[in-house]
Amino acid sequence: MVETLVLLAFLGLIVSTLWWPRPVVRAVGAAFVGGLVFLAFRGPLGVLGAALPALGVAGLAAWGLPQRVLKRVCFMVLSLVLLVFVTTWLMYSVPGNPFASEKQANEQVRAALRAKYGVPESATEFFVLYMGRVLGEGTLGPSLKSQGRTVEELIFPAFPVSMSLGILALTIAVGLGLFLGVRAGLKPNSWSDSGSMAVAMVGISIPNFVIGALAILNFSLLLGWFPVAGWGGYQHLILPAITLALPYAAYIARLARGGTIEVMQQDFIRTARAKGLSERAVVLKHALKGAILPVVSFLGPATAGILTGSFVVETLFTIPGMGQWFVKGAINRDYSVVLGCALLYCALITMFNLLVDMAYALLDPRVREEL
Amino acid sequence: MSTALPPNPSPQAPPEKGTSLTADAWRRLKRNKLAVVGAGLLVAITLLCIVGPLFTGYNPEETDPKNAFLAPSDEHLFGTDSLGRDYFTRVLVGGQTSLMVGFVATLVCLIVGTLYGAVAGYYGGRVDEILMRFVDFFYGIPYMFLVILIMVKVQGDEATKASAVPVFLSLGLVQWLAMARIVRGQVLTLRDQEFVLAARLTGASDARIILRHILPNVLGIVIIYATLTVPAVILLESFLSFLGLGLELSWGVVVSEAVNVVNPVRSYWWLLLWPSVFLAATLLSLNFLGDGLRDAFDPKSRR
Amino acid sequence: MSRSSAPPAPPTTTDVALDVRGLTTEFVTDGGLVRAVDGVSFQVRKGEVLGIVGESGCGKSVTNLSILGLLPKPQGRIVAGQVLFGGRDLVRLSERELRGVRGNRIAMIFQDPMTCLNPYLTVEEQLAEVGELHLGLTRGEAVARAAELLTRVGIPDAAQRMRGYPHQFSGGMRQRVMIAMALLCDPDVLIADEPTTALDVTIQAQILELIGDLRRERGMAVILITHDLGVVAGTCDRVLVMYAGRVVEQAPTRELFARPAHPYTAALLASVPRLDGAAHARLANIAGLPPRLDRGPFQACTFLPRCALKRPECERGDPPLTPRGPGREARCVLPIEAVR
Repeated sequence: MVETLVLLAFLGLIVSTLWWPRPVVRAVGAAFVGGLVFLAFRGPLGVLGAALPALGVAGLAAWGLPQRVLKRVCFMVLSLVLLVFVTTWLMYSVPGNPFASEKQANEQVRAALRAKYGVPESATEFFVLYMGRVLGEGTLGPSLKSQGRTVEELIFPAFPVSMSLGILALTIAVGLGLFLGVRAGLKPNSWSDSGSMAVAMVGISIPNFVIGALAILNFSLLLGWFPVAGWGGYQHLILPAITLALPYAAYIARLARGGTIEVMQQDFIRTARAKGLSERAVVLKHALKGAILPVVSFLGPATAGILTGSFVVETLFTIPGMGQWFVKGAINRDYSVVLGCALLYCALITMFNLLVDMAYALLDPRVREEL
Repeated sequence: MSTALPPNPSPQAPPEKGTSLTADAWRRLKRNKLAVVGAGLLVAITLLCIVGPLFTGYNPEETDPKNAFLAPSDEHLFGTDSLGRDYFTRVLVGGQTSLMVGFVATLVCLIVGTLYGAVAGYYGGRVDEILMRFVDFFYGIPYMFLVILIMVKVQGDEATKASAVPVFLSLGLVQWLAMARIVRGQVLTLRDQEFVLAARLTGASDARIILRHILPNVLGIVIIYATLTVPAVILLESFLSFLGLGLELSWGVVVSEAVNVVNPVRSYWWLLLWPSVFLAATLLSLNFLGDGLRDAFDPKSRR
Repeated sequence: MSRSSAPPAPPTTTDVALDVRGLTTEFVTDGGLVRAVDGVSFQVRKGEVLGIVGESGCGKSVTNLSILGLLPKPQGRIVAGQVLFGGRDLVRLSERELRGVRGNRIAMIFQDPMTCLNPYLTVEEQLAEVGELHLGLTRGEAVARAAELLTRVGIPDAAQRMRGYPHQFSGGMRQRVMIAMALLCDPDVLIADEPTTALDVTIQAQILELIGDLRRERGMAVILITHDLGVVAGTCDRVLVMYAGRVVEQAPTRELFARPAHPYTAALLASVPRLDGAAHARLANIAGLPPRLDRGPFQACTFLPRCALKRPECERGDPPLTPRGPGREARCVLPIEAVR
């Protein structure tokens, strides 16, 4: 009951950003930007050390960022908080609790454990405690299941692993997808077009853990080119990254092809040809920018998909990434680990989405003006 | 004789809206070989999955450790798995679940997304802004998080553990956002047209206008998008199964069991091959059919 | 490229800027082969404005895309004819040689200035690249030249405004930008494909006046494609009337308006309200539709089904273009006196 009310209140607050007056958006948005900087730096630099750059950045944001961007920041940060709440609520609604499996646990022991780890009976109380800890102390709290260890200790070593896998996969997906898609779109209905689109369709239609399993069988076990699984040098990264990237490369190729075909039919391409430009200049200078716009707007969802999709690939290749912690945490009811993972990922993805939006505006001057 | 030529449709005058437009689209769809083959294959696989298990004579869950890892033979068409279960039956019954998940979840997504989008588009203004803000919010969340949490909840709850309905619901609920956006865009352009005005002048209620006058006009694009949602849902379910969070028996479950036992020394190739072939064939058919429908009904997007 | 399909043309004299002979262009479509341009011949002299009129789909735009080899590939191709320009046949030039002509010696402006400028590049960029490409200018020189031409076509504060993007310009201003772009290399021939159709009436007049002024100033030949007879009357020296991919009449403007030699031209003129000044009416008032071009060669006069003056002999085949006095031709069995 309380949870429903809190949820509605949050949704109302988020919607109300639509009608915030300009100075409010400017002030709150800048404060949020500064707050994020503060949280990011307080670990290494301490409270005072982080406050200085945070104030500086907040000032810069209030002065220099366009109204639209600040509005987005307000929306994003509030959404992030709401997300923490929804996750907490969902976790609490799952039957069983983090201490259900403690040996010989009786009511008193459990109550003591709840108090020790700061896990009250209701989701709203936990949410308040959790946000207080994140904002007040700048920590993600202790793990509820791995005793004596903090969430940071568990997931921070896994973070760079998942990041390097994700970044490599994203690079492969964008590079391969753009190359094949633009090439196919320049010669629609040719053999190379039909060929690459058929391959792309297969790439979209086969679950990537099947492709990954086949790749392990072939390249690691039979040919011995790559290590079978686990984590170590760059060799461990190649097969999983390709496996993770393939469906997205295929999707990007289809988008880039569509964009290219669309742009090449535009009147301004005819103008460019009538100027006497070479076909190469027509494509590279006049067509490419417009052709990749659909791909750019797909980058946000693609990043989210690749980062969370790595759960599957990490399991398949037994890579010690973030995925295991999230899935394990959800199954074990380790609330703080789940929240830590969710917060980190969602913050990352929202920020990337903002960057993608700004990149889109840079590419398309008509959108830039609306910022 | 030029006078004997049939009347020439002028380039400026498009064919009559309505029947001839749909007929035109059907003609284009039937010319698209991939889409036709996809539709045929889809029907064949569906029938096989429904009817097949009745005739195999095996129970998909019945283990027979003595006959584990049998290669395909007359006795066991697709061989047997690590526990000696008849693989043909398992793949077909798994197919029933996967197809059901795909279609039912898509239906959920279709109903929710269409109504939501129609309301937002029809009323416009503030209502539209608020409703679309929610969609933006959900769009920002990586849905894998939500689905994993919901699945954990579903499986942890004794009341819902055995039932597949919550799975349908949760998989459908993460897919409706795009549908809502598409429908809203269409309805925004439709609501100012004369036929809506005419309906309003006759005193029809908003609900009636939306359901009887506007929705039939966006049905085409809804169906096209739904065709592309089915494979997405099936794929998502297979990911969840691979993470151990799926249903009891589906293609995803069968494939991930296979992935876990296949090794190069004893390559039980049939274990990976059969479910993958069925899964990939279904997803390919649906994707080709969806692409074909989109090209047929939206000639602008035609290559 | 059979020469036999080209009708005998008068010998090219030195003041002819562009000489098109027997141009025939076909498209491969879903419905079969479409002959969009069928044996079109005409000349444009230096400093002259030639109008080409006809309904949409009559082949006037395709004719001009053919001249510069800008047909959509691979569907469209030139199957016969010559385009003589500066002693060369453009039809036979390689793509590379053609690129040296396009935008340089023969420039083109198009109907819709909203879509013809690249929305992703600044106006400066789009203008300067022409100078760099054809005139071998440095970036700085090309920008200076672009600013000079923008000022000439009537864009105030050009050096400043050209740093903006096309969407920051109004429709008329964008068409001025297109004209400046076309004139950057001082072309011998300017092809203007419906340059004013997408613009407001007052802007139309300004743009036409500008084109006329520039033509006089630079002595270039202009081909003005339009379906608006009002535009023709005010701007063109000579007129070519096209129907179903062919030339049906060619005449000096004044004579054409005074005395049309083809029933189609007569019908076009009749569809323009006779009140002077209201000459901007569109050519939509002739009953019936043009014939389809994908049904093979015509067995009768192409205009027969819509003709108000049809005779039995019209069924015997499409008549040839025949002279109707000095500088005039028409494709009709009737003598000029019989056409009203």
